[in-house]
Amino acid sequence: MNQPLGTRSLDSFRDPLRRASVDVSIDVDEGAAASAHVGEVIESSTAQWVAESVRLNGAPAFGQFVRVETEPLPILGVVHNTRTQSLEANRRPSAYGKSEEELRLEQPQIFELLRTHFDVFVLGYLDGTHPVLAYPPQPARIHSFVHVCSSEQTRAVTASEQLLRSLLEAPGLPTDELLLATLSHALDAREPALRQAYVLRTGKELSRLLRDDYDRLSALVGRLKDRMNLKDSQ
Amino acid sequence: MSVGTDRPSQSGPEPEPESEPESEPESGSGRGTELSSDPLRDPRGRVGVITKGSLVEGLEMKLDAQRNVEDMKAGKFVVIEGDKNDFFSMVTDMRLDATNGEILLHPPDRSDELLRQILAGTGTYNIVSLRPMLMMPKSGVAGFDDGPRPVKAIPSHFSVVQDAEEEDVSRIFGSEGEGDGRYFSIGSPLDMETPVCIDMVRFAERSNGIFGKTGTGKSFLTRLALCGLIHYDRAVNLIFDMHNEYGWKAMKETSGSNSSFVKGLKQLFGERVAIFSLDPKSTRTRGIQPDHEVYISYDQIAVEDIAPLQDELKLNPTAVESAYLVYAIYKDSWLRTLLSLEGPDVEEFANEIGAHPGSLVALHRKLKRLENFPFMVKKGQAEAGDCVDRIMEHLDAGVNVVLEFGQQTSMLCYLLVANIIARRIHEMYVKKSEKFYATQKPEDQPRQLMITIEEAHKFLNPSAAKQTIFGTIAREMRKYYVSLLVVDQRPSGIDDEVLSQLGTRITALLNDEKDIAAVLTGVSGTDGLRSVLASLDSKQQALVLGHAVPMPVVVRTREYGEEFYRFLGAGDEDPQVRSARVQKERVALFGE
Amino acid sequence: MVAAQADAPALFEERLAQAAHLLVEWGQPDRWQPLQQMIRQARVSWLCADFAGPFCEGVDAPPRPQQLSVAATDGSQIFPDRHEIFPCYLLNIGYVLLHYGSGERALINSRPQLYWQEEDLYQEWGGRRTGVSRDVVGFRRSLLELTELAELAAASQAEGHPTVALTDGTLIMWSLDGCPPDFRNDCLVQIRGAFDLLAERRIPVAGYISRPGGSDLVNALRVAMCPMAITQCDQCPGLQSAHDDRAVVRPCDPLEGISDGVLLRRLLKPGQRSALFGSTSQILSDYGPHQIHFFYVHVGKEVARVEIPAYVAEDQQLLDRVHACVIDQAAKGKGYPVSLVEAHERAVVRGADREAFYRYIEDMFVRHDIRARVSLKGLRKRSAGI
Repeated sequence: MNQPLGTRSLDSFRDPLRRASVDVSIDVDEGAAASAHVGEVIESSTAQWVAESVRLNGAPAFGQFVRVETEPLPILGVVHNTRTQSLEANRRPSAYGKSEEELRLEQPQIFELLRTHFDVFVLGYLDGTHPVLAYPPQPARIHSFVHVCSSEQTRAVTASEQLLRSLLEAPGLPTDELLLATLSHALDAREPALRQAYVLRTGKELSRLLRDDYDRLSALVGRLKDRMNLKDSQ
Repeated sequence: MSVGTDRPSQSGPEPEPESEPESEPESGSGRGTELSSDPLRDPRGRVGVITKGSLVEGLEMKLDAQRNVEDMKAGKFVVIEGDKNDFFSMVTDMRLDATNGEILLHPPDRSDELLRQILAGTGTYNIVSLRPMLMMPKSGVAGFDDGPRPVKAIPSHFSVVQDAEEEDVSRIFGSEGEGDGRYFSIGSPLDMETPVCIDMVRFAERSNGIFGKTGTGKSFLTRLALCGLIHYDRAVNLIFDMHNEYGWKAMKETSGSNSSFVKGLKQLFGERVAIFSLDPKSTRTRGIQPDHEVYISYDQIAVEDIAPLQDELKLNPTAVESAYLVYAIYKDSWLRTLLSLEGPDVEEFANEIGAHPGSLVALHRKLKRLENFPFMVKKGQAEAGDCVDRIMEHLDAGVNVVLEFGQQTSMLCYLLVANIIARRIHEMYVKKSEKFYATQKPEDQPRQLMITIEEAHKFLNPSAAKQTIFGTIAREMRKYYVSLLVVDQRPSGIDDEVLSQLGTRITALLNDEKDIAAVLTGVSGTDGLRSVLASLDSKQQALVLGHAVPMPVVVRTREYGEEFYRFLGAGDEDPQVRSARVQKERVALFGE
Repeated sequence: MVAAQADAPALFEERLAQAAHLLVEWGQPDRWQPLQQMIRQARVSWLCADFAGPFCEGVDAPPRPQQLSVAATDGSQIFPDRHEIFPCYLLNIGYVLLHYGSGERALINSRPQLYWQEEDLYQEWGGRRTGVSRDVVGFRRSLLELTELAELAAASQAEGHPTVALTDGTLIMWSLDGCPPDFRNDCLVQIRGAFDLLAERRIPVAGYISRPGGSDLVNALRVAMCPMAITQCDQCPGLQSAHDDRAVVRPCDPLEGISDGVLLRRLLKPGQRSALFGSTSQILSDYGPHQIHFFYVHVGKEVARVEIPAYVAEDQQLLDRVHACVIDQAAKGKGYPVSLVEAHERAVVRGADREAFYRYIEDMFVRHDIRARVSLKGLRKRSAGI
């Protein structure tokens, strides 16, 4: 209180840590955001990590491949759950009956009290540009930054047979949904001419892995085909 | 899995349709690389990998997903690449299977292309049964130079199976150029162009059989075999040509109205073939001048010749005994004597000699039929000596004899004449052989004779086999330098013992289980060939197995046409060359 | 007894009606000034409201300006504990700055401040130097809330946002009266400083009191009810009955137990505020120009009391702004101003935090190799055994 009264800036009241983060206002500059990280690790273990999304509702898509820049090597994972909830356990959002636009104008505190978190299942790590689909020796460090994988990285990860097996064997994942979503991202990362071949190859791997559950296989293949048709018509 | 270095890239075999660019490694090695848009073609015609099996029951192969199961035909020739040996095998069976019964309960829609393609090779797969026939050490392994040998081992799991290549075929079966005229091509394996050769030396060593349902081209096969024997001069042939097919030209069965003719043996080999005709008129009508006309005098017919006709004539066994009684008194002229009797005289005659009257009467009645044959003559009317002697002369000189029956196509005639002549010839051969065994002089060695008979089950059924000369010949093997070439559509009618003496069998399509079993009698390692036999095309396909081939093989029979004629040297020849050859042959036959 | 309980609501209702009637009667334009006179002459022991005009009717809420920012603070503390390793204390202030109508991000933060220096830990109290009391810590906190609120609102206004400053609780620090003079004066200086700043920048500040227990207005009505010409409680006619060995029955008894909030609930419609009243609290004599006024406002769920300094009361625009803001805030906060809710949530120190705080201090001590003694009680509190 040594400063003369009334001369402190608003910044001095702001949380220095959050000052640096990207504004959550609606029209954000996409270019600047592209190379920036999308999340920060807040919980970490060998098999999975939880990250807080930089922007509210701005978590990477379900099934998206992400990497976390951590020591000793970047770790690769896939987003399998995203949730937005209030910061404190005892305070829960309630319905206002207003659109998001209206809420930003009239209940701005809401957006400070909610956080988006996303859960990532660990797939492996990046050795140079080459993905190794095996658990990393050390889990991701807390506060390391999470980035969305590039098309090239996505292609590399999805080229491996091990991916499907990892997803099918992991407990507690919404496996079929995740399979579809990851395959969809895998297709997006490939040129249209190569997609059919990729689908066929992946389909065969699935057929081997799901040999005891034909019902599941045919359901998945059907959905995959629909997804592809949708992409083709877009 | 080592792959022999002696297998260069394929040339010639038809390209397999590949719906998928990448082949599937069964051994589970990881693929870290990404698919590219260029399909990766396996240059060696890979078919699949071995998954199960045993030495006794054969091996099973999982067909690669990109190979179409419709290309796997029964009888197709493939090579299993083991670690130390290559196993030459034949496809015997194909089967569809699925990993999960669910797939079959809810099969994907015809329109669901994606699911079908995904399931191909993973959920649904094709198993092909293979029977290894020969194994051969790879180059670098001990024993490579010994060539193929019988299968004593089996390849390990996941051994790769490849389409057979030209080299494999020629390595096993030999090729026509080599071996001093030993190998004669009778066709090519399924889906290949390479010729498959029969070892003519071994073919001529033993009796052989040519089988197949009616209309499957047995005559063509026989013609091919005979051409081979004559061309390479491995045996001299005596052909009982019941249907006048072999001597001069014969009708080629083609669909539609345009039927053409194929050349007969005489047209192909000229002076090396002589046509004897039992019915000269018929022969001339067809535009051929027979080299000899055949007449048989009654005195030439022995009781032994009548005995095989029992079934045909419906004779009582006692009839034959009665015949012997007549013979006992009248010797060679027994028949003449019997036939000269009329009506009640026969009975009286029977009583005279102590034969059963009834049977003798029956015998007389039935033998009377013989008088109807135009070629039956009384003694003395035979032309220039015994026709059998004539035949023998030709055979000695190395001239093949085709005995045409003309219009005389009755079974009785065929049986009678064949038996008579064959018996006489055989007797002569026995004498000659024995003389040779005594003197050991090379000029005394008789020429290997092969007698071709059709409708063989009439001669060689279990009851007749013991009585006819053919049964004897078959059993004796090569002791007396005489063997049989048996042509039949009902091999189940042939005595088992005779069947087992048939060294090489060339079989066209057969349907009857019994016939199939009969063909496979006496040859080892034929499990799985049943299905192959039953699946042959009705035309131009045959299974060849036995002594003259190292392993059973299904062939598309050699085209009997211009190209073949040229091969035999009987195409459109330069006239001078031809006349020179003719001159040479005449000298060989008849001396200067 | 139960029967008596059953009658109670009905009786209360009667008295309340009576009070309301009184209010309307004496709030008329021609009656309030005489009442004012009566009150000024009266010698009573309770606090009576001061009037600035008629008070018989409620005032409708003006529309809230489209763009408005609301600054709010709240505070919480970890009291000094002799049994812990070190008798320091912590004040935690929560700040909230909410912008309405612009879509700008809200500012929600908190800042703890640790007091550990000699002058903070000990006080001169009645000539003796003792460890600082919980009361003092409480005062410090309230003060800090106010001064920080002033700074926050000023900073906000400086960036171009028309701002209203809200605080939870009264602006009248009447309990300072019981403190040592130095301390008291020091506090007042700071209070006046904060108000000076806000007045200068023309930023309205208001103290929001939920479930107000005050009865300034009702007390004024007691005077109205009093039969005496000049009300003097020690000469209350009701005392006479006491001599007759009966319970004291005062003429103003019917107004007993009725608070301003309860009374005004009958008068005000939702959204309306009452007339402005002045507080006659003693401490205000040292507030200088910043006399505290108040009004009651029906925020829908309840009637709350809002206290404002004079510069707001005298500025109709600012007054309206505060009125509209309070209604809006309470609506957004489902009955309680949302900014104060958030400020409170940020400020509050929970048990776990408290534990963490002391453990941290201990770690620091250990790390710096300072020998420290924790009393047995402290130890016992830390890890209660089974």
